[in-house]
Formats: sequence, C-alpha cells, structure tokens
Amino acid sequence: MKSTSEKTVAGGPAAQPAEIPLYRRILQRQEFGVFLALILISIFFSVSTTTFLTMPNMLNVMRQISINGIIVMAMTFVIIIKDIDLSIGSTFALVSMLVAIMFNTYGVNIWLASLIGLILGGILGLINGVVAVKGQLPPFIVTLGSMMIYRGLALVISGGVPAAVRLPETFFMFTGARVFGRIPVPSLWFLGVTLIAGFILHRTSYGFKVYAVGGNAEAARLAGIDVDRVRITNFVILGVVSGLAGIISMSYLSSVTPTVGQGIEMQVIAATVLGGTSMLGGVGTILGSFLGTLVLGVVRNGLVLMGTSAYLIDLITGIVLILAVFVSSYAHREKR
Amino acid sequence: MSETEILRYQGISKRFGGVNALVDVSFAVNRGEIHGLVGENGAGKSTLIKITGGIYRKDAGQIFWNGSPIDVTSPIHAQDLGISIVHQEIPLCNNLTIAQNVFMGNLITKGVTPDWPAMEEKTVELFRQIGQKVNPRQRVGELSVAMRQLTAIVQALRSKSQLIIMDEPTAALTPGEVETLFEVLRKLKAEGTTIMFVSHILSEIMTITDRITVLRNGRHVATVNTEDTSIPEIIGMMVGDIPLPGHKETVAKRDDVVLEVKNLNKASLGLKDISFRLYRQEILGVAGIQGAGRTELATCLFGVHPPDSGTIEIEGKPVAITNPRAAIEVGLGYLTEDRRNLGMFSDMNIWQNATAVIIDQLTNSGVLDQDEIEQVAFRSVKDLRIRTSGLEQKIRYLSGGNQQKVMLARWLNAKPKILILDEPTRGVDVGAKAEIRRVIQELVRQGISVIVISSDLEELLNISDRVLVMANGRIRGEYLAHEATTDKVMALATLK
Repeated sequence: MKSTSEKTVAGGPAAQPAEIPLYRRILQRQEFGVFLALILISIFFSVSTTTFLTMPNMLNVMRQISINGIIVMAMTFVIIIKDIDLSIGSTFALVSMLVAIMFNTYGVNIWLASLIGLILGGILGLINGVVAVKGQLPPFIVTLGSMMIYRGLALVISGGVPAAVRLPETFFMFTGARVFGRIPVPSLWFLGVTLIAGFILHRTSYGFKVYAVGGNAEAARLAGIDVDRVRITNFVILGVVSGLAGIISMSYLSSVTPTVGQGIEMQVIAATVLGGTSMLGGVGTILGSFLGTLVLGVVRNGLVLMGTSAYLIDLITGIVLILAVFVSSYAHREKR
Repeated sequence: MSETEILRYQGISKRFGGVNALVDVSFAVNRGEIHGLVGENGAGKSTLIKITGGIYRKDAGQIFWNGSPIDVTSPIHAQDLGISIVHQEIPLCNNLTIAQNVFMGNLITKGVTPDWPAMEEKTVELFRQIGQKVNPRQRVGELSVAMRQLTAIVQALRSKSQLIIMDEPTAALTPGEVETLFEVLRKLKAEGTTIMFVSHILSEIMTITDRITVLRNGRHVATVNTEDTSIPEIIGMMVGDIPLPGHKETVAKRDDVVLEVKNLNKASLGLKDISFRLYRQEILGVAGIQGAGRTELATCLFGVHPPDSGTIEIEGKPVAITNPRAAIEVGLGYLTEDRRNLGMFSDMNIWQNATAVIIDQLTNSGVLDQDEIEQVAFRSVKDLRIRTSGLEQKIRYLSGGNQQKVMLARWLNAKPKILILDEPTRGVDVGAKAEIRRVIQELVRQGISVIVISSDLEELLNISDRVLVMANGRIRGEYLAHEATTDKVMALATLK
C-alpha cells in the first residue's frame, strides 16, 4: 500500500525507527501476552496463599521448572523449524540410567560417565534427525517410534529396576545441590542454558538459518542453506540437552528409575507453545519459551500451595494452556 | 439510481493502520458488462474486491446492490447476495473431485446421504453451459490451473451468482487457456452475468472488457469505455507520470563466453538436449509458452534438480552443480518466479531477507555482525529504492514490487557472475517494472551476465540482447533482439 506514512529510506539511519516509545515496543512484542499471564497468575496466587510469594517458594519453583526448562530451550529450536520430538522423555531416562549403571556397576568416573551420557544423548538425537530428515519421514512418527525404542532400551539395561546413585560431593555440588543461600544448582543450569540458547537463536547465523528454514524451507534451500543439516543439528542439540537434564535430575534426586521422564515431552511442548512458538514454524523466541516455562511452573506450584486436589491440577493446567494460547493468538491475529 | 446498474460504490474509504487503502471511491458497474479494474500494486484493487466480497469491512461510504444499499458482512453473505470472487489462488480441496468441490457447502441429498450421481450430472451440465467438457469425478488436485479456475467459475454459477469478480485470472494461464477463459466469459456475459475483471495485463483488459475503471493510490481516477481508450492512455492514468524506459544499448562481450551448456538432459523435467552459450555482460532472454521448460531449465542449472547428463562450463571450467549451494559457490544466482512460496521468508524482515544468501559471510565466527548486516541491507534499500518504513519491517507488509526488489537484493548481495531472473516483473506494477529493468541494465554494466525468463514477450525483446526460444523442453532457435519480432518468436515457440 502506498501512503504518506510510508517513506523511502534514503540517507539517514534505516534501522528500527527510534521514535516508537519503549512501552509501545514492549506492548508490541509477541511475548507480552505470556508475560501478562505470568504477572496475573502470580498476583492471584500471592493474594490467595500466604506461602507463594516467599523466597523459599520462589527458589522451589525455579528448581521444579529447571529440568523441563532446560529441554524447552532446545525444543524451541526444533518447533521453530517445524519439527517435533516426542522421544525426549525416553532420551532423558536412557541417558541417566546409563550414567547411573556406568557409575554404580562399572565404577566409571562420574564426570566421564556423564560425558559419555551427553554423547549418547547426541547420538540418540542424531538417529532421530537422520531417520526423519534423510528418510523424509514425519518427525512426529519417527520420534513416536524412537520414544518407545529408547524407553525400551532404558528398561532393558536396567532390568526394570530403579537405581540409587551415591554421587561424589563435588559432582553433586555442580549438578544437584543448593548453593549460595539455598539457590538450587539445577535452576542455575536452567538459566545458563537459557542464555546460551538465546544467544545462539538470536545472535548467530545458525539461529538465522533455523528461522529461515522454519519460515520457508524451500526458499531456504534456494538461498543456499543446507536445510537437512540445520534440521539434524537441531535434533542432536535436543538430544544432548535432554541427556543433560536427565543427569541433573539424577543428581538432584540421587536416583534413577527407568520410567523417569514419562510425559515430559508434552509438558515441554506445552511450555514452548505457551511461550509463543508457532507449530506452523518460523516464529518463536527464547524469552517467550522462558516465560512459558515459568507460567506452567507457577500454575502447578500455586495450585499445590492452595491445596488443590492432585486430580485437578492437570485439568486446570490444561485449561490455562489453551486459554493462554487462545488469548495470545487472538491478540496477534492480523487485524482486518 | 439507474436500472442498468447492478453495483454502485459511493464514497468507499478504508484505512489499515495509518495507510489509506481506499479514499472516497465512487463508480458503478452495469448489469451484464465485463468491467475491467486496473491499477498498480497498492492502488486498492484487492481491497475494493475484498470489501465487495465481505472479507474486509469498509470504513465509510455505501455499496448499492441492485439499487438498494447493502453492508456485506461476510463471504457467505456476499454469496447469498449473488456475488462470487474467483481469487488468484483458487481455494479448492485438492483431495476431492470436481463435482464435490462444485457442490461443497450445498450438497444435494437423498434423505441423509449425498446424492453424488445427481451432483455429478449437474456439474457436467454447468460445465456444458460454459462450453466445457469434464469428468466430474476427476480430483481437483490433478487439474491444470486453467481447469481449476473454470471449476471456481462453475462453483459461482452453481450458487447463481449475478456478479463474478475475477482477480488476476490469467496470471498463470497459457495463451490458449486465456482464449478459452475469454470465450467462457463472453458466454457468461451473453447470459446476463456481470463480470469484474482485474488484471495487470492491459492487452487482455482491452480485449475482453466493455468498460475500465482505473484506481491510483486508493483513489478512483476514471471509468471509461474500452473502445474510447488505449493502452498508453490507461497506463498514463495508472501511474501518473513515470516515463517508460526506452530501448537500451548492449554492452555484451560476444567473444567472452561465461556460461556454456552442452547437451543437457533431464528426463523428469522434460528437458532434452539443451545447448547454449551466455556471453559476458549479456542479457539473454528465454522465451516460450507455459510448459515449454523455461523454469525447468533454470532450476536444472541452479541444481534444484541436477541434470541427468550434459556439461555445464563456467568461464571455461566444467562445474558439477548438484544442489543450490553448489550453484551459488560457482557464481550463479536464481531469482525464482514464485516469490511467495520459493522466495520470501514472509515472517522475517527486510535485512534478514536481503542477506539470507550471504549470512555466513556477515558473521564473526558464527556470531552475526549486526553493523555489517545493517550496512549491506541499507545499501540494498538505497540502491534498489525499496519503499519501506525500516530494515526491521517484515517483508510481507511490502507491496509486491518492493518484495521483488528485496528478492533481487538478496541475489545482488551474493555478487553472482551469472544471474537467472525468472519472471522478474510478474505481478509487479508499472513503476516497479521500470525500476527492475533499470537494475538489470545496471547489473550488466557492472559485469554480471543475466538470463531472463519472461512470459511478457514484448518486454523480453525490449530488454534482451539475444533471445532463446524454447518449446517442449528443447531450444528451438535463437534471435538477436533487434532481429526478433513477437510473431517470429511465437511461431517458434508454438512449433510442435
């Protein structure tokens, strides 16, 4: 459309028009909806319980969301590129089970065992990626299959038996403990992974390519982007990160069961989508995913504090998820 | 209000955000006429059509339908009134048959079950009305664009439309198919259906319409009788006062072969025994009718579908181009004909779209160098005179011509030796067309060699130094541009 409000850029700086005030830019950001939801929900729980808005509980929330949150960050890449991975819960279990067995049964140094575990996570992701991308199969089906295969492997190598893990003090300090006045270390990992993911997605050419492939894979290919490689790399990163989350969870709980992490894929996908990442590809941010993870965590935590029946918590969380996605998509639907 | 008027627009205005899409537009469409609607991209044609069809709501003004004021609230409401729109991209269900599509939303039933035989019979009958034979059980996904369009027209007939609005109906049709469409439109007109015909191709507008309405910048310029006007006059009304570029002088170096293709074959694309040369700083046109293999040749050269056999040499060295990345590495660029599906990253902004090919060069070990990116993108915006509110503007909010300039910028930034431009001026307005032609001439002066594919034969002959003519996947011949005429080229292009 031609109009007077449109101007030809000629001379002068061309970047983001500086005249838009800060508050308008915040309002226009796609994360604003989920941010608002977080604030409103937090106010609600602060008023309706005496324990919600206390430092110990806040730290507790951070700890509770950290395991899923770490995986959400990598899942954001995968969903932006229009793929999906259902096998993360099984990767989570298989990696942590393997590390526990290496450490318990074969006496492998826990740091080495963890490194091997991360590599295994990467290999599991690589298998997902190569089969789905090179085999030109839908990632939903491929990872549905590998979800069962990886879970089966975890059950086989453990014989279906949970393992208690008695970790060395230093390793525990770096993964599962609380430090500096009761700050849970897993939540520091979560923050760290979030920052790294944000940097990669928003500040590197790799992140650029993720958006390009997710937005229009065929155009990306014609622009010389190696579409297959970017997609497979995403799966590998998600595999490694799922393994990392598994190891941290094992350390925090000092135990592993072969059935651990069942259903986390749905919670992870929910948090990602809640944060504004589109299942249609090409849209999403790390800040959004971070806020989405917080919203889900706060809802769950607040409901528990209010003494809500465990049976109702999932039900209410589901309603919150759909409502939030509805509101944010409604707000961003193109105005006609 | 006259008896002959079926539709009258009175002072229609529409704003999007700060943009005036339509300002006080008033004119009337007569019953049983074919009414042309023309204007540059962004002139307000689409907005007006969408308001008529109930997709947008007008901000001000009044629409009179058969003499009474109406407010079209939804596409379904429009259809109930008897207004149908045949869109550029035809929304049909590919997995269903022709008859199922025609009767979708209004099934004939026997008791509770759909009566398919009855609907199939009716479909055949409706197609007969417009002089066409069909198999009503054929799946729409298997149809040509032309047949899909006719299916959409039959859909409109089925719902007893009095007014059918056709939005750029000929953009993807072959000359033969256009002729068929025109016959259908004339039949419809003879039976009293009113047609509004929107097109960029003015020769078609002059052929088929009775009257023409011209819009410019959202305002009504004039409504004229077709027989009283001429193409130059219409262009004058559309653009105001932009001079059309004249013929250019050639800078081609005919002793310096940049690209040599020998005996190229690709069975799956129907390409047979393609051999040709491209000289340095030459503009080589590729002419042919739809389906002649022009785009297929481009995608084959660019490695989208690598050839089965044959050799490609660039500056005398044989190259193996197995994918687009390899093509870019040896100095090729390819501006696709399908900007929307194969070119743009719609949700990304100007700088992201303009730097997509060279993004790896604009980093410090993988980290984006925002300063350099901004410089590159800013230069593109300036050199190509892209009209935008800023580098962060999403590309989908630009007009078609400006989107195309961003796509062109993407390839110019890659600094190719050889640039293949596939329908570079399709669907862009007259002003942007002139701009793109200026850029092409500037490119060859800078040393780039260009292959241009275009269905607009006059334009192709005007900008090219030399023209290859393709038909049925083969190169049928070539002309130096000053020797070629549209007649000669068409004779070769339609050779069996």
